[in-house]
Amino acid sequence: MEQLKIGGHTMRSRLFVGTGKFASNRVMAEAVAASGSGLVTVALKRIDLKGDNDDMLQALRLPGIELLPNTSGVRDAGEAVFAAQLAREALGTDLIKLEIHPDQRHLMPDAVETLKACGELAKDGFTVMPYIHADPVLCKRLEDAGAACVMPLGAPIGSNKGLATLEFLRIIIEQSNVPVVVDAGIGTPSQAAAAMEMGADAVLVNTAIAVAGDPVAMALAFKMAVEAGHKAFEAGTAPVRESASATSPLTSFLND
Amino acid sequence: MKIIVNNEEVVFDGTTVAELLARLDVSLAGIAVAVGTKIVPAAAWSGFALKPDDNVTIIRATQGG
Repeated sequence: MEQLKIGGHTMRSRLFVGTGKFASNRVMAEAVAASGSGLVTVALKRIDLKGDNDDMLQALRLPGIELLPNTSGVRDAGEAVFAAQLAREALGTDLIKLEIHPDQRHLMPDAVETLKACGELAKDGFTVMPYIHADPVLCKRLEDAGAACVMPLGAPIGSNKGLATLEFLRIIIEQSNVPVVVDAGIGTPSQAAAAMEMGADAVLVNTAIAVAGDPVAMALAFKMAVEAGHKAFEAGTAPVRESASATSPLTSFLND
Repeated sequence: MKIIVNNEEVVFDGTTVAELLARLDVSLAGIAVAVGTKIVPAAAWSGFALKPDDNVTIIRATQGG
């Protein structure tokens, strides 16, 4: 199986996982390990001056894990660039998941600000991974602006509604010269497998693992689904037909 | 002098970013510091002098997707 590369980074798995919403850092670390993922998202926060004892980075110090900081919480391109620069300094990585979603209710990504920030960050040497709506035109524009991949959404963040944007994802995958990572909305392993079968290069899953009854078991289920879906894509799926096509010989043997 | 750190007013009798971090008793692993909109790399903390009313941002990683 060919390894996925994003910018100069080789990915050991095609499943990327987020670290939000887990009940504890221990469950988070166990789920990350079970997922087999090599790329794990983190957010940024201002430290609390009254006492700051978040040990989540300690929990994520696992062999083979690269951190992917996001810019969640910013409202425009200027704030996104600032957040990315802070993230690079804090974590020593050029990877940045660029997400600008000022709308608190639906968390829809702002295409205009994202495109602007993508160009600036790419020029500044970042490996930019923009989170966007499943907009095929925007994806090409981001590619031109220096995006290392595109991360179109399947459905709103945390909604678990699956590949609501399916037909547009198909166009994006067909046209893209950079890896396509389906991000947001994937609620079940079968949806992750479906995205991979249609040729997505990777998927990013957070809520569906973190709030599952057993997050560690669900992380393993996603790992298997992503591997199965990618294997099926590589194998080449059989064509869909309008009429039956026999799998057994049609010569009758009981009476001629 | 009085400065702003993460939107809170802090009275501080030192000079540099390094002294401020020591005064705040912040664990230094995995943090980043900016003064205004300028990132101050860790290597420059001990040489970067703060001025009254400077706006300092200190961040670290947290859980998120």
